[in-house]
Amino acid sequence: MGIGSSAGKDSISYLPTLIEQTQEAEYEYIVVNNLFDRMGSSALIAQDGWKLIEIDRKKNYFQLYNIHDDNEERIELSSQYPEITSRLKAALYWELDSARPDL
Amino acid sequence: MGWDFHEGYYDHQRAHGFYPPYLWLNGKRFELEGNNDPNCGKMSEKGDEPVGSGGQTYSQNVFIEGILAYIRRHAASVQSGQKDKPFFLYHSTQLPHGPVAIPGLYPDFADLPELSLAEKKYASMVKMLDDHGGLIMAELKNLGIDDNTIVFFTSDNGHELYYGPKPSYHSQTLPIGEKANLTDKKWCSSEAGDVFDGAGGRAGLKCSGYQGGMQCPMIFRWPGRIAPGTQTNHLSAHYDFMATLS
Repeated sequence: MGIGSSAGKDSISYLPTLIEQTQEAEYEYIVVNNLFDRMGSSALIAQDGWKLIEIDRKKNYFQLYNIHDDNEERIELSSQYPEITSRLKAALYWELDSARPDL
Repeated sequence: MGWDFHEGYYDHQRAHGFYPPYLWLNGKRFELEGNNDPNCGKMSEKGDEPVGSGGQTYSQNVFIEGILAYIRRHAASVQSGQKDKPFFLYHSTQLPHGPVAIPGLYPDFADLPELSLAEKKYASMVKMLDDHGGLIMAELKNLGIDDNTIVFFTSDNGHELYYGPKPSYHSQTLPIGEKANLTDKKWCSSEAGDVFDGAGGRAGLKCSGYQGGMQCPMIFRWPGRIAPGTQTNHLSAHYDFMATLS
């Protein structure tokens, strides 16, 4: 529509992907700030398909999947990849605990 | 910016019913014939009310007429030289959000003995969504503008149940009565008796942390720019939509 996007922590246009140009702007991850907890709660999805799900923060219970390889989330990988788990956990809580998690 | 034209609800609560006594057209209230329930004909979570209950004028039928008329008016005003701008039409359909309600069952499902009433109603809502997408495409083709129009389709969350085994999701039990868990026996629509397997084998429903609750389809049709059948692994969320469009 010819209107520029605003600055700041913001969304990313996927127009380059749509028109088969190089997608230069990419997220490291997206965060789903979920207030429900019946089957998992908040989650972080990173590039390469890594996904961390907060099951129970108080019990320090998290799960790690790779949704590119395992979209049905059947193979839980946190004990196999403890470093990825702790990196994504830090990123998730940096986002959720920030003053404005909505931004 | 703003909208040149609006027809619909103003709030989320009323939009949970498909038979609103009134809606809004460019800021002016208009009545829908035969709809008298202040709750807009909102059904129960079970969805087992008789077909057509709730009122007489189904909101989606009002919207599809408004959409097709808008596209025709726009095309006519471009043709007559009154307008030279492209249009952007955003149809946030209620279909197939629950609680389920439909003015009539589609013949495809009406006589299937393996479906409950709520499942037949839900299937008919999905079918109507598909049909109305087809009506919009047919109108664009009819006006000769489909090759110059980007059409996209998406949804705002993963699967949700307003029929069938929703109670088993709440109690986290599997069909054989066994308790579900979050390791090797996750509740998923493919294994919990959801006849449509709405989450396509993924675990969880809307509001859960698993893909069944958050993975959404997104389909673009853009002739000449996007080759049919192209797929991408680009990571995005719905808040990227405005940035993409602008």
